[in-house]
Amino acid sequence: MITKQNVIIQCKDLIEELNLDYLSEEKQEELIDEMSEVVYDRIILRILAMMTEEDVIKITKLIESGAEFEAGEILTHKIPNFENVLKREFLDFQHEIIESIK
Amino acid sequence: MEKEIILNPNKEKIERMINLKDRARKLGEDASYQPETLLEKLGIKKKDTTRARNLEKEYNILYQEYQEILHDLQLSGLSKEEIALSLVEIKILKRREDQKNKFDKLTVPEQNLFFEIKRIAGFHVEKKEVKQEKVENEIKEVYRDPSIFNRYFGTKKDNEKSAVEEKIINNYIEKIK
Repeated sequence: MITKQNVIIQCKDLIEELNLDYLSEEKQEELIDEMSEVVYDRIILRILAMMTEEDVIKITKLIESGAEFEAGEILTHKIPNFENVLKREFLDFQHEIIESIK
Repeated sequence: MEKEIILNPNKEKIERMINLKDRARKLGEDASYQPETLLEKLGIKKKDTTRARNLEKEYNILYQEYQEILHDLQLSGLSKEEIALSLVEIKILKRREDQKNKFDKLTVPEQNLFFEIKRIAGFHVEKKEVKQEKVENEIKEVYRDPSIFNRYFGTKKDNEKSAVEEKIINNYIEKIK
C-alpha cells in the first residue's frame, strides 16, 4: 500500500523544483506535510470512487478487526493500478502548483 | 480533513492572481483551437482572425492586471520567493477546500474507510466521530431512493417495507458502525 512516506519523497522533490528549498527546514517540512496530505486525500477520494459500497464496508470491518493485511490485499485486488493512481494524482498536483507560480 | 487556516494578509490578491492565471491559461487553450473552414483551407477565403484578436486582447488585460498585483505586492515589501510561497500555500488551501466538499458528499462508510486508509498510511488521524445527523440523513436517503434501498436490503415490495422498517434501520446502523 502507498504510505505517507511515498508521497513525502515526491513532495520533497517538488519543493526543490519550486525553488522553495531556501526556506527553513521547519517551514519546508510544514509545506511538505500539507502537500502530502492533500495529495493523499485526493488519492483516497479517487480510490473510493472506484469501489462499491459493499467493498467499502467489508474493508473497513477488516481494518477495524485488525486484519489490515487482508484489507490491503483486497484493496490491491480491487484497485490493481494503485501505483498509477498515486503517480497520476501527484503529477496532476505538481502540474497545478508549478503552473500557479510559473 | 479539517485544518487550521492560517490567514494570509494578501490572501485576496494572491487568490486574484491565481484566478487571473487560470483564466489566461483557458484563453490560451481556446486560442490554440482555431479550426479553419473549408473555404479558408482551400485559400478561397481569408482566415478570420477576429476571434484570435479578441482573445489576445482579453489575455493582455488579464496579464496587465496580474502584473499590477505582482508589482503592488513587491512594493509592499514581498520578495519574488515570498510571493511564490504564498501562491503555493493558497493553491494548497483551495485544493483542500475543494476536497473537503468532496469528502462531505461521501457516505458514512466511505468516510470511515477514508480515515482508516489514511491512518494505516501513516497520517495522524483524529478519532473519527460519525455524526448522528449524517447517519439519519443516510437512512432517509435509503428510504427515498428505491435503488439504494434495494442495494442495501434486497428487493422488497412496498407493503413489506413498513414491516421491516425497524429491522432495516438496525441493520443499516450495524453496517456503518
